[in-house]
Amino acid sequence: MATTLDIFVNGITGVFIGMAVLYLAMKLIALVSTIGAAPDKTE
Amino acid sequence: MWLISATLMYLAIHRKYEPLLLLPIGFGILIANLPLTTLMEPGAGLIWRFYHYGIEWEIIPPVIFLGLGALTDFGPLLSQPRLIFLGAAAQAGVYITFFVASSVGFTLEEAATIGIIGGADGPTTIFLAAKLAPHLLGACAVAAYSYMALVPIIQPPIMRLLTTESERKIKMKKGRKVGAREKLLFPVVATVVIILLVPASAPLISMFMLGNLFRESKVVERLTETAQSSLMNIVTIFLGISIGATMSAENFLRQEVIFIFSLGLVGFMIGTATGVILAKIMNLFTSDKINPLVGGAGVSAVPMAARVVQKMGMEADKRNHLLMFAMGPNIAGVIGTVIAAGIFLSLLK
Repeated sequence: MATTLDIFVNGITGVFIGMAVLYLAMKLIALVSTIGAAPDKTE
Repeated sequence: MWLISATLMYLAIHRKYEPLLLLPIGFGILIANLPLTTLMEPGAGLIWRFYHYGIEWEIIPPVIFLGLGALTDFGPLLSQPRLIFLGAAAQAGVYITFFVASSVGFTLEEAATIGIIGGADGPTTIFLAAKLAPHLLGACAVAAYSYMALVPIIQPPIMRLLTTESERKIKMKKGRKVGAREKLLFPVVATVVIILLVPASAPLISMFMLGNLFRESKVVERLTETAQSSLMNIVTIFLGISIGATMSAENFLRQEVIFIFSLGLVGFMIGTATGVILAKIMNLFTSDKINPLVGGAGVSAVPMAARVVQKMGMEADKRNHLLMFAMGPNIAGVIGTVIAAGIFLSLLK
């Protein structure tokens, strides 16, 4: 069974890693969405 | 318990504090604490059946997330992806509270359930409590929804303390326009990514993203409309009354409930603070500054926390509209809390 400290460290690390992977996924989605589409107007 | 029931119903009706939940919860407490009823009799009671088949079978929280997904627009997050880390930072409140709760004598499962209150996400709190510490479900749910209602009171002093006047006036550069294709791809990609990383979060994330896919596909308007309104309203009724009915006197009138409320509040406050602090740290590494107030919206209280940021931004500068920027971390916070809950489940179950 994991200890308190294990869960604390793994938990915070896990959330940041998960969000980092999702961040990269969002960047990839943005890139893929520009393929074959009209250029987005950036403001 | 009758007094607590009356207090919650008063807060719901007269003060309009989260009435959709606190009113049925308050009434559920009343009927569960009347003598000689069989409403919560295992196997036979009416309200027991709502609780058993809705909550113990983990149906209601994911269905609420279906509705939330159908209501959510990921545009603000997709236009400024870096804001997702502010949602991550707010989850530090969850884990710090978990650590403290464990240190004061709660079991790991109980500490995790108390910690998740700091994420300010009602359905996730209920989902986790039902799995890890069902005897704390009522107290944790009431704490989570009460603090969500008190966001406009709890957050501003913390955000003011951690920011300077000039920081609160920072005007953020408008994010890029987000196309329909991106908004369509996001729920599918996010589902795959998050479930592969944290399989235990699957029930909540899959329903959240399905609801969002309904919305963004624009081909199932009837399903979207049902998920957003009727279905959510129906399950909210069953959820509220079931939670209230778990709060019998012997379950609720215990010393540890005071700890639960106190620790949950601390978790929420820490989550607000860590979001603001991370925004300030991020500003050290970028010329495109983030208004640190936006970090306070990293908790999952959508859209209340974002509205608080908008109000505080306008107090500092009347022309500074931060609402759409704040929605990014606000929505990220929902995902972050689900990931946090999934990690707890992976490590404790």
